[in-house]
Amino acid sequence: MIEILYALLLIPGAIIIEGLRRKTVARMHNRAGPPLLQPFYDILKLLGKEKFIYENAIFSLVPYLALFCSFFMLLIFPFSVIGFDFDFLVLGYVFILQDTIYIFGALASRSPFGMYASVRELLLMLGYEITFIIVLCLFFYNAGVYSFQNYDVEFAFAKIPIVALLAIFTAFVILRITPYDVMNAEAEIGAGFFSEYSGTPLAILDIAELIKNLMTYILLGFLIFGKTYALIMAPIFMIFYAIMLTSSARYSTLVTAKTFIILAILAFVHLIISGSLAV
Amino acid sequence: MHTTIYPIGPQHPSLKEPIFIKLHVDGSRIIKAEFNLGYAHRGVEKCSEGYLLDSALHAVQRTCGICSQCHSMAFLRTVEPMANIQPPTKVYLQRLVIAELERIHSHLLWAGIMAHEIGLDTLFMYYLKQREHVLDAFDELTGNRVHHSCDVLGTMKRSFGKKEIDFLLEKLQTIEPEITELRRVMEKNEVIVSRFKKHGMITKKLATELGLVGPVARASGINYDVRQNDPYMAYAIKELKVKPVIRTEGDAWARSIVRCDEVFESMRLIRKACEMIDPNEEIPKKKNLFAKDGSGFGRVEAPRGENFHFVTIKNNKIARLKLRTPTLANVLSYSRILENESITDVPVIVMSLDPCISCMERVAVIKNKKEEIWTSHELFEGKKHD
Repeated sequence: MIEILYALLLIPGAIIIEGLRRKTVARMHNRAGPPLLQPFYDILKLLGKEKFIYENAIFSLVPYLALFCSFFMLLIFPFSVIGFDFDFLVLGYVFILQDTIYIFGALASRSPFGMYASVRELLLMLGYEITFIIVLCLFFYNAGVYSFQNYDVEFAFAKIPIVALLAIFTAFVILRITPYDVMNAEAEIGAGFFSEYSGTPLAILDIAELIKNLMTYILLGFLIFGKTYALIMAPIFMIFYAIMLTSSARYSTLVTAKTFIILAILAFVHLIISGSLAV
Repeated sequence: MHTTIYPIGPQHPSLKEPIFIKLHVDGSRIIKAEFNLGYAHRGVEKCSEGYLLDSALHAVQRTCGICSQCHSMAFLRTVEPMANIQPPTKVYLQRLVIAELERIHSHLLWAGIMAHEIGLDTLFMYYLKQREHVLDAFDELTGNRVHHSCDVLGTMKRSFGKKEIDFLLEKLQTIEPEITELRRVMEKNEVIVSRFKKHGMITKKLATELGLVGPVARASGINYDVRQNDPYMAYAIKELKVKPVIRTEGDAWARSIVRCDEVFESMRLIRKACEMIDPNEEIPKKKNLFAKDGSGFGRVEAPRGENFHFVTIKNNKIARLKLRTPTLANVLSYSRILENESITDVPVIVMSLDPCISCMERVAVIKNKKEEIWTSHELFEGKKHD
């Protein structure tokens, strides 16, 4: 019962975290920033807008499928609300599934902006999804378990620092932080996937994105700091990534594919030497 | 070859004003770029026709929100000799101060937008924070932040006293270290260098062929600046001689550096002019003036390049006014420089010319009571007449 309440509280939590994120970014920009509840007002306003949508089954379904993916994440992580103990890989699949769904929506919209966004997203997915799954696997091999409910390692970063670093780098892509926001690069391709969406479907897509972002923060806290600190660490990770987003001019040459590959190799070598990973 | 059509505009996030660029792309490589204008014609020329010089000046000053002083200076350069007026040196120096401040403000705004185009929003905000100091200085000097509207025929609305000059110099002191740091970022930052270098190449030959002006031409190695080649008003004074910033690379990066360096050159000119202004000297009061019938032209160096005004006066009223803003000279190069670039680089290349579309839109020909609008593409390619 308490888990259901918890999962329900995470939805407004995701929106407030987004409000906090905008505030942090604004402070970094030397601006006052919007009110804390601005994302709420945005979504409420979008929900009240006239429905004007291109008639295509896939295009209309995509927002609901994306929202379903987000809710599914809430149900299995960090506490299994539905009472079934899922394998950790299921969460990885759901993360990937949500991005794939966006690609379908953008292609079905037949907008050139959506088309270019899909191509860029596909290229990016080829790069980062593998790293994401490797990170998940390494953390769970280190713990010696296969489900979130049994994961009880605390402060994993002390034992596997390189994997923790790799996880933080991978989250740059999942959170679409510059320079990994190429599929939403407004200067060339407008809003990318979401160019053709408006009104209620756009509000639903927004909610799905916000929940996914919150789940990413929680997942990082969960893997790196342990179950107890997962929720406490979420706002701290949010602030970290907001600061990284605003200082992208300084670091973005560091965060390249090379960094990912080198970190992944180092992580494997470290795990093999320390004996955590039997070859 | 089958190509996909990728539209940029008339409304698009990377464009601040309406212009339509139709890209024929193969994958993400641009095979051919066409562009079309005519979405924001405001009729400034027609507005001024039939009005007295003072009223026309009022309309001319509002042609552009960013370089309004340059338009008023070009107009005054044309009509003041026709009305046989010679304003005192202090008025010329004051006009120079406002024009150079405007150059700083225009270049800072442009640099911010360039940073925004490649996703560096923080840099955009930092540039705009510095620009805010310049706008404060405008407020103190002229009473208006954007449309200064401080010129009148033969004089200015306000005389700069000690208080205004001290405020201005203090603001310059505030922004100088910040702008130096921002220029270093523009020059050295790897992201900016990799996005700007070797993109939107304009060789010296192409720049000469197309008749490009302003920082765009100077970044391609053409030593042309109206302030230097045809000095006017206070620029003709020996101490205020302009040293144009020239680079030879001809890419978007060179254009950025030229503009960043011009900001420092403008600051030097303002400081020099402030030394020469006598705070206690009174400037003449506004008088009603009568201009001879006839035509004349004048040109000044606006932040974006050469700004050209042609005026015909009849019965002390404007009979014909023709403005050619620098963007019209520069915008023609789009179809040439966008070829063989990637879609990713389009915003950088488009913005690197610093287009000011609404000021430029005035190409219309009335023929057989039927209006037809010439696009710049047609002008460039040569329109067929029947």
